[in-house]
Amino acid sequence: MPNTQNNIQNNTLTSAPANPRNGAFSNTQMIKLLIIKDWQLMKKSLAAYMAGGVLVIGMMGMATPLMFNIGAVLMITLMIVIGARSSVELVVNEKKDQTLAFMMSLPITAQDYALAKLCSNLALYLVPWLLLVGGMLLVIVSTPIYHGVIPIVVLVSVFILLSYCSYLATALLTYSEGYTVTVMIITNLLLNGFILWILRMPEINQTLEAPTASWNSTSISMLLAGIAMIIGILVLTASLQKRKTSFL
Amino acid sequence: MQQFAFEMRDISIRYPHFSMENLNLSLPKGQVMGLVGVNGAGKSTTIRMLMGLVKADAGEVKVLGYDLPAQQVQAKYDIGFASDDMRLYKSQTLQWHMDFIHSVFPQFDQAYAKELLKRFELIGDQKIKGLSHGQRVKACLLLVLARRPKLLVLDEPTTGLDPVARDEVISELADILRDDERSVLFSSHNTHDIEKLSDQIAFLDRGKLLALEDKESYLERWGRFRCQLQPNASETVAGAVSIKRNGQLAEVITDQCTAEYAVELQQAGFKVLEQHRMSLEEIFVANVKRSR
Repeated sequence: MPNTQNNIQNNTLTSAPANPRNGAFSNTQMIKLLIIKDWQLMKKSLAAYMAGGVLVIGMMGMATPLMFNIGAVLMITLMIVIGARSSVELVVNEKKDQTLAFMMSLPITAQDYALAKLCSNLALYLVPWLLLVGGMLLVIVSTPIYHGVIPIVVLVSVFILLSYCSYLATALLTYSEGYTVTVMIITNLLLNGFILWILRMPEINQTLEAPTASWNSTSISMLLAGIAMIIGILVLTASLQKRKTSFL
Repeated sequence: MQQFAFEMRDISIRYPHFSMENLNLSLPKGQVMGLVGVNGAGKSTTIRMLMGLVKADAGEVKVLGYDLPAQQVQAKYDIGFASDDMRLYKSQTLQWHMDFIHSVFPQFDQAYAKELLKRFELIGDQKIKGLSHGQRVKACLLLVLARRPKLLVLDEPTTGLDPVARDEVISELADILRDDERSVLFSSHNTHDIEKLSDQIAFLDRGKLLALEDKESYLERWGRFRCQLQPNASETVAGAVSIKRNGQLAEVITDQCTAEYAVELQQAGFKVLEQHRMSLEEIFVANVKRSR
């Protein structure tokens, strides 16, 4: 039996299915099963992207300015592609491919479904995002590359995560391919502007070639603002989903 | 006291281009109800309310004793739902879907699922993207039936099937639905499918329930008379749903077709030339035309 089936069956065996007839009913088990299902649907693509990530980190690890810059561009592209693929595949396509009707037949509410989607998408993006960012930082600290680039690497990575949360929220709230792609395009354009903007900031620019990472008030403020915006978007998405009275 | 698989009381719902007012519909346990209506009649809306997917603006929905949509999670453990627009994950196999459903529904009957695989001539290890539309419909039915739900809700499951696949699906369903414990709501705009499966038939049009009776009552009560108009023929006849005049001839459709009705026609100046039973489709169309 393939591993995917084992995973589902193991899950059934290891955790007792929620029984609605036994008093206090919680749908945590269903949400968990939906997250596992999404993981199974995406795991092959994710493995391929992670293999690409390892290759790119290897390029960056050659520690020449050319290879590092090429690697950085490829890494940004990879992070964007992983986010776009998972939000389109797991949210937008669920409606487009009409598998949403199949999900509707399961013992879940619209809120359970949205919460499961939010959790699975975040997990499926955050895990490779953390590995890729961690890999990049590891390359920087273990090679002669200036450690001064660390703040900009972190800030750009957080901006990409913020962009991902924006189009994930759009996908979850609208299930519309058009709106989701529009937000993707806008956030990608903003990313270019953001990189140019921070590179021109003296507080960032002047420390790029420093031997150590220099976290000044500007970079810390930007980092905290990015994290606050990510949390804000996620909380807003969850609260808007909670108000929905219809699945469709 | 009669027990119901579902009860919808005074349901109203309003969309920009569709509204449903005061719908009352209930299905006694163990019965098969066919819901007939043209596209846009409100069949899918009715079914979505029964599944807790859509909240009515007013009224009460109870399914298997649960209030919907509030208790939809609990209710859905015992409701099997399949619709024509339901698709499975293309990249996965039918076996993967069976395992997934088993993980959600502990009562999923693996042995019965295997039996259905054989009856529907499906292959568990085949990916969904390689299945024909007919096979996909059968796969969805397999996943639903093997759960042995107390209430089966089928929203136009035969739409888009070729005649052979449709006949296969209907025959299998007829066989499977012999289980007296199971209640079934089956919607379609195809009256032939409904006729084969249903005990009770509801006609729905523009959000209104036009009629709800058992199949035999419809077929007994409705009739078509071909008549020759006498010089003293009156304009209307009691009990006539429609009168189509063509020169000296007239076609009278009635929903009060008894042995005495021909005599009543005669007395009203309509000399009966022929009397015909009507098909369910003709009865449905006559019902819709009368209501519009």
